[in-house]
Amino acid sequence: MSTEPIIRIEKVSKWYGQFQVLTDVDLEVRAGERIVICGPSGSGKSTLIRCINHLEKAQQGRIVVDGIELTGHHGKNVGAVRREVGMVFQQFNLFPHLTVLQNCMLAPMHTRGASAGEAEARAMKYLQRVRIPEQAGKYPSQLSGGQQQRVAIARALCMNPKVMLFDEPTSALDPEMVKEVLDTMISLADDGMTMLCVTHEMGFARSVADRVIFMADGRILEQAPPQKFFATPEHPKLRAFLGQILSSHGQEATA
Amino acid sequence: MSPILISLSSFGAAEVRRHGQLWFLFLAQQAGADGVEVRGELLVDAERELPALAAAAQEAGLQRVYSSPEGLWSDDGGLDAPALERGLAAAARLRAPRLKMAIGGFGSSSLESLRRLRTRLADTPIELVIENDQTAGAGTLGALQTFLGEARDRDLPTGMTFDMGNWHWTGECPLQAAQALASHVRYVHCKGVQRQAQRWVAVPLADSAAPWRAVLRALPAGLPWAIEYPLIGDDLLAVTRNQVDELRALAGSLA
Repeated sequence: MSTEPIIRIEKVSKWYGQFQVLTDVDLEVRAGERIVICGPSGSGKSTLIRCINHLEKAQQGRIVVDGIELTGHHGKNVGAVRREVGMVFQQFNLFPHLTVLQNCMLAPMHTRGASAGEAEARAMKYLQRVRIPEQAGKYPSQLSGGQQQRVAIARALCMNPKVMLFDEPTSALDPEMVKEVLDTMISLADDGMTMLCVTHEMGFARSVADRVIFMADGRILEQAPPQKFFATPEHPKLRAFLGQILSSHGQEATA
Repeated sequence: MSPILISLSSFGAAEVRRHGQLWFLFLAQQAGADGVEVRGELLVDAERELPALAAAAQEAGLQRVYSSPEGLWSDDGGLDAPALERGLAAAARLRAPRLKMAIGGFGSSSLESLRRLRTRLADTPIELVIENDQTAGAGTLGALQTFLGEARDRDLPTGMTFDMGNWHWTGECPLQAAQALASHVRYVHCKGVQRQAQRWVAVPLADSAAPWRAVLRALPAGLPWAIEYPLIGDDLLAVTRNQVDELRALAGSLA
């Protein structure tokens, strides 16, 4: 694993009107690293990862992705970063009027200049990878939430991204469907994909993450490898958070 | 032989809200079910959905049960007449002959209201069936025996929805409950259970840790059975059809 960061975030701050949602956030992510970000609602975790592909603009500080400077808000740089960073959203965000296959072919054809044949081959490769090639001709409304999220992952992979961002990818799913999405994410992690996942799936964090980050009030309050993170949390807000979330998931709280 | 229904909640709350209960009614029909239980808590637009569900079920020849998420008595022991009226109105709009509710806060101070309930139920062709839920107040054997005994003493035309799995949530023995309540039971929720860390989860009967065959044998033959456990899979129609077929075969073997 390279030690050169693929993502560098320095002193990033952001406000929504008067409300400061991020405060002096520093974060470095190495290529191949799997990071889980957790924290209470409104802690800034989704905003932080959305700043990485410029879906949100940081108003202070510096963000560099794969050597591309995002801070100046140059349109060309934003486009370049988005070609390298795939994102999976809570609500899937598939185009409802396009089939699964068309959803997966769209971005490679329009932003990477792939031919229809190349895009289709790549789409089928990744639909196979998320174990739903047989759904290629269906529309999103014909699929379950778990299947739609797997399509969303396949669609992101079709761009051959260097980094994958997941913004609460299982929180709109019924509990019984969470596993099929997490299994797909685990398989990506096993292949060495650099991943930043905002999630409350602590079992996933324990088994997959290299580092777990806790955010509250727009700041990173604690970060550690999972074993230390769960066994010896230091910040009182993290201890309270873990106690709450682990008990609500029916697990023993170690905090 | 027992008609086989599907409680539409079996497809997952998020899935049902996403697709609508009508979508799953058609799936249940294709899977060979004899009827559906429409869930009040999963209606997004009851005014629009209930007539559509009624028409579709009528055309498909599907039996209907309406499940109200409200308790029949308030926490203070008073009859929640508005909740009853909402349930009866919804069942009527669905053209369902059966309304399922839980007793909620029924207690010793509620006995006086049983006469009012009898008067109201005499005015409707809809049969009220009381379900053992997962709460201490409305899901224990003692609570159900007390209510059903008092109701029978007052010639109240209420039967019981016997949920095979819910007894585990309240720490009761389902077989003992079946033996004690069999004469009241009009409708059965088929639900297997497994114990996970600190919680029970619903599973298909074939995967259940509970003595479900003995429970079903203890109940009257020929009652309608409803699937009420998670139905999930990439080929959801095949999964559902398989579960309907298995229950139908089981009903045949017990007949």
